[in-house]
Amino acid sequence: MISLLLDTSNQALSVAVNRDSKMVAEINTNYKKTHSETLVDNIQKVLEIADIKKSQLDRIIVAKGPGSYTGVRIGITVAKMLAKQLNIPVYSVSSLFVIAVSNGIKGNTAPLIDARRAHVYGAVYNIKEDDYTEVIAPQYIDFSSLSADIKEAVYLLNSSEKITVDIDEYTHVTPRISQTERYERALKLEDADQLVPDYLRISEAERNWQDNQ
Amino acid sequence: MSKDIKILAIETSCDETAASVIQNGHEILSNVVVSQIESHKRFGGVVPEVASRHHVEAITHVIDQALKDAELEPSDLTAVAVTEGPGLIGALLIGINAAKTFAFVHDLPLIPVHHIAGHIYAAQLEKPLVFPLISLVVSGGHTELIYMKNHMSFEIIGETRDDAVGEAFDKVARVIDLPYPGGPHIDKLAQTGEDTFDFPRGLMKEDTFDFSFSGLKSAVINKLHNYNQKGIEVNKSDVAASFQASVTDVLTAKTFAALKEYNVENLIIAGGVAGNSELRSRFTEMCEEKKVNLQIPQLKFCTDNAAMIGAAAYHLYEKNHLADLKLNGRNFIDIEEYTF
Repeated sequence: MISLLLDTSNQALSVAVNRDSKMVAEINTNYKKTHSETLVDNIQKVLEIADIKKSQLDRIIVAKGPGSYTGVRIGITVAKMLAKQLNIPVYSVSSLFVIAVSNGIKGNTAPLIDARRAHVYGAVYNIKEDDYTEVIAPQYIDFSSLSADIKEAVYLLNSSEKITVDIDEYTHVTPRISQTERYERALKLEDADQLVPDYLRISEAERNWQDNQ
Repeated sequence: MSKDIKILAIETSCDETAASVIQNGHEILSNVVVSQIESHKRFGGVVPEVASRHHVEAITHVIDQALKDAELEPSDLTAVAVTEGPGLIGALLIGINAAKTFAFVHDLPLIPVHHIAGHIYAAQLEKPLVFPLISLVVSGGHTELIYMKNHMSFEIIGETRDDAVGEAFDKVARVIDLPYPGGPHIDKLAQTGEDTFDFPRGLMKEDTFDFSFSGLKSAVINKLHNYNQKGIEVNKSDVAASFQASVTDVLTAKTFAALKEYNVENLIIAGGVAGNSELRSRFTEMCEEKKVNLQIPQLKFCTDNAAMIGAAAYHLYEKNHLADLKLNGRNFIDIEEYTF
């Protein structure tokens, strides 16, 4: 089975082709160019490098957030379109799970994405060789309340992002979407038409509107 | 005989998710528009983040429907076109990435289109453009007089120095408690009122084709404030009629001055505000009197849609103006850059 995998949830971009869950080719970038400009172009390139035709793809796997709103929307839009136009299924995976498994660290891991104002998008997973347990589900939370709930875990932070929360010890991670596929249980089959990002937050305008109701 | 050019066009620059298939630049094989107005009403205007979220929800449905209505397969298409800008950047990116993916999967050429060029070319969906022409573009984001000596040739001869005319409609609607979007509500209310306030006509006496609507907007707000303080009840129908009369006076005066100066007999009015009934009737009357060929597209082609993008894209395709898979959105693009 040949999969095309995409993660555009933060500044880093990760696009991979896997065969039977193992990486064949992967492009990882971490610079100022936007995903809007580079994603589809890099998909073409990674297929070329892997020597795979788009018609050979069996499925799409996309990181569905949380993360940058614009970033995840680009990944999701392209994934939906690829699935529909190639007539293949699309699976989603949490962007936090991508961070959790990218470095090969085992045991309790707490992947975090800085969300400013002392908040993070965070989760805790217990990662084993080929399986995992979700200890704390992905959520938008004040970092101090999350860390109070975490007894023991390695904090993992996306290496490209600015860190504004007060955290002593952590490991920098470059998200590698190719690493998610061996945890089949973390992948969720989606209806391409219905697929939307997991923002984990409603928009500010909707929050203000709700507060005024 | 040359082959028919069938273009799938996608438009997501503001709060409509739209896709259309246009044949040879003017035959509408399908035209699908999903409007988000109902969602944005509660905020009193378009919220960019909310707009972007809705585009992701709707994009694949809209494209599917456009192909289905046209009874076409992707392999029947000649090219894919998409609005490159100007517009809300987060919103534009959804259409652009959808279009790039479609072009990539089906190995089709990709045509980037200027949103305002699209509005002008909406007229071509009804009859061929005749040059030279002047187009008055009036919408929520734009107020411009554009001179075209031929296809895909744009010269801005006048533009707003502050608010767009549609923006002024929305703001005035808000102060007289009309719901968003303000344009159609003011139009309706004005029909039962009269121009009793004689609001200022911005830049009317000055030797320029530029517009200004912020003074008019402030005059309306000040007048209402003044009445309110004195405890005088204001006739909202008269406010709407007076405001609309000022706008129409300015738009007609500047446009006919430009037609005269440039010695042009063809006028196209484009953009959402072209749906305003007083504007339509005044321009129709004056054009008859002055022997100007006027074209105002029907309302569904004045507001944002993808058919107009497909109409403009036809000429860009003929001129081989294509993009590669690195195409990005731009929130501002000078239309004069789009002269090919």
